[in-house]
Amino acid sequence: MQMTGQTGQTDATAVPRRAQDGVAIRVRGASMVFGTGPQRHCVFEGISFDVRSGEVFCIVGGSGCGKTTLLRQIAGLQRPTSGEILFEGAPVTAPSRERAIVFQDYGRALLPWRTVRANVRLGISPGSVSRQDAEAEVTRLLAMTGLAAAAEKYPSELSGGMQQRVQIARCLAQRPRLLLMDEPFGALDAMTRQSLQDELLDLVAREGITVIFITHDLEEAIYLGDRVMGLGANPGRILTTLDIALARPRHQLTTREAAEFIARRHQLHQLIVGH
Amino acid sequence: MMRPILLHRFTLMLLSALAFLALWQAVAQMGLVKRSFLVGPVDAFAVLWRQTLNGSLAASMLATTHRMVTGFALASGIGILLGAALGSSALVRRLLMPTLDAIRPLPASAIIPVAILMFGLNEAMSVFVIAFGSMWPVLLGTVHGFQNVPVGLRELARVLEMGRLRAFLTVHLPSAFRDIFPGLRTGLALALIMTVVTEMQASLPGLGYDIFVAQRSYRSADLYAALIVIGVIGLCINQILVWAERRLFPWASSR
Amino acid sequence: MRRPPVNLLPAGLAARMTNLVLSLIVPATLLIGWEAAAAGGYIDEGAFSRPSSIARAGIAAILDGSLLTATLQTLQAAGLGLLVGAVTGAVLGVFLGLQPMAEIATRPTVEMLRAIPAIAFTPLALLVFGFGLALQMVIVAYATAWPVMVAALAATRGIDRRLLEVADVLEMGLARRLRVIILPAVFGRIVVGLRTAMGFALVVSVTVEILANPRGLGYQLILAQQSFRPDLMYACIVWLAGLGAAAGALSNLLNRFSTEMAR
Repeated sequence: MQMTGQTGQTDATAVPRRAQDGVAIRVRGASMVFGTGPQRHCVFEGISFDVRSGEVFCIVGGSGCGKTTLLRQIAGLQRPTSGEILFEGAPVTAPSRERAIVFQDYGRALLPWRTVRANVRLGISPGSVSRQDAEAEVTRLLAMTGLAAAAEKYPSELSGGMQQRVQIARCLAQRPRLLLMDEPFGALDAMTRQSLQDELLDLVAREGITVIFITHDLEEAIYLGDRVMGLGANPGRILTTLDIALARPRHQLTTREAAEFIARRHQLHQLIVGH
Repeated sequence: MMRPILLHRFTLMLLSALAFLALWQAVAQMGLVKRSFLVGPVDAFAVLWRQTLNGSLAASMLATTHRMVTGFALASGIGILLGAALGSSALVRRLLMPTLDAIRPLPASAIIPVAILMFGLNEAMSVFVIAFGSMWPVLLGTVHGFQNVPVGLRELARVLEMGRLRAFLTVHLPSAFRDIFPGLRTGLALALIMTVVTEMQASLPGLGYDIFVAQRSYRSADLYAALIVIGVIGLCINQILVWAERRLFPWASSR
Repeated sequence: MRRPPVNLLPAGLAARMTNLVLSLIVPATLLIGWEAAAAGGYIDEGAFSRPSSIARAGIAAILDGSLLTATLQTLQAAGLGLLVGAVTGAVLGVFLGLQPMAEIATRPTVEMLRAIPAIAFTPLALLVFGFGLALQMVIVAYATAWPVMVAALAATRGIDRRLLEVADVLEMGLARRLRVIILPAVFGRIVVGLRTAMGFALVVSVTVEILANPRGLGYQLILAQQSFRPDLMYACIVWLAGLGAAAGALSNLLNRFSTEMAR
């Protein structure tokens, strides 16, 4: 990381809590169940998995498998009805800046009355760095996410893809150790989607962030992921967790044509779609 | 294309306004209507010119505007604070909203006698009545605004670990402001009305009182002059608010 | 998040009971505190009569008929003024909506007149009409005409041009055109304007009575204050709040009626 002068010392908790065992997120028997008796409704039950530090972990599944709920539990926005979630060894009880989240609905996750620059600046913890350093960091992130020209615009003046870039830049400004993404590219056209996928991979590689990425698109999951976890629906459950042995950096044409890619796609398709 | 049409419209408006004034003057001069009822614009503007020269117009306008702004500022302060509390807390809402709903339908001017008993016929009474009358739209707009902060933005505040105050200032208040502003707008219009009413009722110096005095002494030209000035103040308020809306919500206009 | 249905009835009933109790806490505390403070001699009953004497004064005013007479006078002026104002406003609005040139030409005059609060015309109307129903009616009509006019104008301008062209092709006369195309198209919006106007009518009617006109509830109110009868004054205020609430309910009814019609 080529930072502009900030040191990690301002954030005293950052160093000692980094997971020694290489596990960023440990989910143990997480459940989401409403009601009891005949009215009992189970979104998912007893889900357990680990996400390793530094990997891109994709969760893929159709609607109703509870993938968004699971991500919100990891973010700390919702509590599991039973089971527990550990972030670098400590239980998740509330949202934290260390776990940045890119919401699916970009239209409602940016402050419409603030410019792009000011929205990204929100990510920087107030008082953590000097004003100049903060501005320099925002400028760096805007350039990195291709938003330099749009810095003084308002979100409503931007396309969907650009708005999603603003969310990603804001999340990076949080200096997170974990980036949670809830179908971030679901509402974008195919071209924008592919370029954002590549930009994302490039960014997380440079910043060294663990990513949990949710999607309903099997190919997107394989293309981005180091590992892909497939979820089944009604009730939500883990069908499989696959290692993706594709070289990085990945490439939209060659990666998607690789034998490994096609094999994994078949495997997931049969498990999740079923025919 | 745009420019000639705009110019054309503007000329039409100007000409028609002049035509209206001419018609008004003609009707007044024909003597069909008693002079004490209808005075032509020439006489009315003559009065305005005289009042401008001797400073009485400026004094009246200043007194009225000052009273209106004081009452309205009080109303906005209370309306926004109370509205924020009501809009953010379901408990406060359940405790207070039914009581407020019971008071709200009361015609605002009915509070005048109470205010007279409490304060006497003076400035404080006037400001109280103006504030009472113009507070309701602000309050309702604020409650609505705070109740309707988008869930996504609330969660954003949580994810960024904002404290209560910071979340209030950076997320909740600006988000609610879109609903507060129309309330302020209606409130300011009501404030002007209540100002004129209390000036008439309590004989406080200002344009409302000028109208009253003019009527009692049968000086109709003065009466029309004061009406024109009140109209101009009303128009100015509207223009200022239109301008303020554009300044305050630059992000909304480009949509 | 999809949530499965839960048993709504008992929970809803319990919530409603809690709401009722919570909503009564504040007014009950205020009233009891007020009564107790007055009984203990802590507040000036010349300005704040105690709730029990207000209730007594109110009941007496209802029984001797004075409150009802005054109410009828206020409502009569409000109702007739609203009728005149709404009809004038609707006719003007539709006319200006159909004649864009006339609308542009009259806009400065209309904007200027609209900016003057109706109440400010009270002294002038008093000169012309003297005390009585007409004075009050005219002011109410002036106040209520504008919201209806603005709504009618916007609605008429918003009519699909093709509909009007159809009327041209069919060579419809004005009466038929109004009945078949224009009025059905603008009805809903005019009702919205009418609801705003209804809100104004009662307020303006009472205000004119307070300021100048010796009739109706507003006059009763100011009379009670001036003759040192705060109990009667507060009783009038409570009554007026009730009247305002009733007007609000009527307005909501009108809204429901018009949405039913539109369906």
